[in-house]
Amino acid sequence: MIAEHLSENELQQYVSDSLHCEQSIREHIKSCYICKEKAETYQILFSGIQRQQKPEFDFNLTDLVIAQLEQPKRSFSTNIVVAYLLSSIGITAVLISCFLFHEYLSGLFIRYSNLLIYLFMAITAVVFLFQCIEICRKYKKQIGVLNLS
Amino acid sequence: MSGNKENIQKDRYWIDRVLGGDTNAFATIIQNTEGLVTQIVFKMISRTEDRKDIAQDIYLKAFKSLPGFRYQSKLSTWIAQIAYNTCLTYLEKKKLVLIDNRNENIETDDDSLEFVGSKSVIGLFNQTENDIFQRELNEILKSEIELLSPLHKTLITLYHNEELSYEEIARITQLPEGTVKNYLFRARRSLKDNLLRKYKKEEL
Repeated sequence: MIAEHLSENELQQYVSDSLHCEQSIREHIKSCYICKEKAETYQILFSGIQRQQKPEFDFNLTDLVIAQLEQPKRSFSTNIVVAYLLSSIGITAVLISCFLFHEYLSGLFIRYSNLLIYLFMAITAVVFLFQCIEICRKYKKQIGVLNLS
Repeated sequence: MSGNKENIQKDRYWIDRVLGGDTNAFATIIQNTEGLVTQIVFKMISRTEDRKDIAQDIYLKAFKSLPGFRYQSKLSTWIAQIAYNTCLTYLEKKKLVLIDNRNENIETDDDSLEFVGSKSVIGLFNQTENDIFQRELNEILKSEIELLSPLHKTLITLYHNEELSYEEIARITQLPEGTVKNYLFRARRSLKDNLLRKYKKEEL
């Protein structure tokens, strides 16, 4: 048995788990009125803490979180629908224009000389080539960033 | 041990459903873990208006990181760890103190130590007086717990209210088990000393 009074640590050990704490601590508590009283103070404290009311949010957390999880999906699908719709309208408009004004368009090529047409095609090809090079360069750069991270 | 296996199986079931695209399953995960997360948020964050954003942030982070969950702990422990880290980041951003040792070394004399214990031990109170004493004690205790540092409050709550083991608390706070025990000891002692001081003052 421990002759001196128990330390605060031993008292807490006893109150937390009296069955599994050292035998000497249990024996001391049985025979020492002062330590028994101190232990009971801790006992009151521990049960007081356990009796404390559990806090609650004043809003529905589940609803708030779930709404945010579904939101990106919805906006993503809406964007795709809008993109498809605009593309369809654009393509339809071009096709209708081609159909309505096909005589003027073919006249455009007949009226101007071959040299002008070749020049126009060359410029278009150069611009297209530059665009392709630029896209390749950007793609390589982005892949490089991804590999690094 | 079988309880552990059962927990893992339950966790796996809900996680698989969430990863399969069932967001309602995540609602169940929130409902199952909300109590623990609420305790951490309330103990770590004192500003009521910030708690709402932080609580949402915790679950959004958990949702994003769910594919990376490796079943090394219970799902609730893992989410509690996210909650603790999120609150910690908030405290760091606001330059708030996680642990305050100013009230650690308050010593209480033996006369006052005996005061609270003696009332119930010796049986001086009848039932009505005892009920009043318990109500008073609860109120004082509530305000005294609020005065503790965020870390001490959290540890006390996780251990005594949520009944988590030292190992689980260590995992949530990413502190060594010994440090958790040490902080808990100090927090309880500080709480007891403050409580006794308060009682003594009120008696005077």
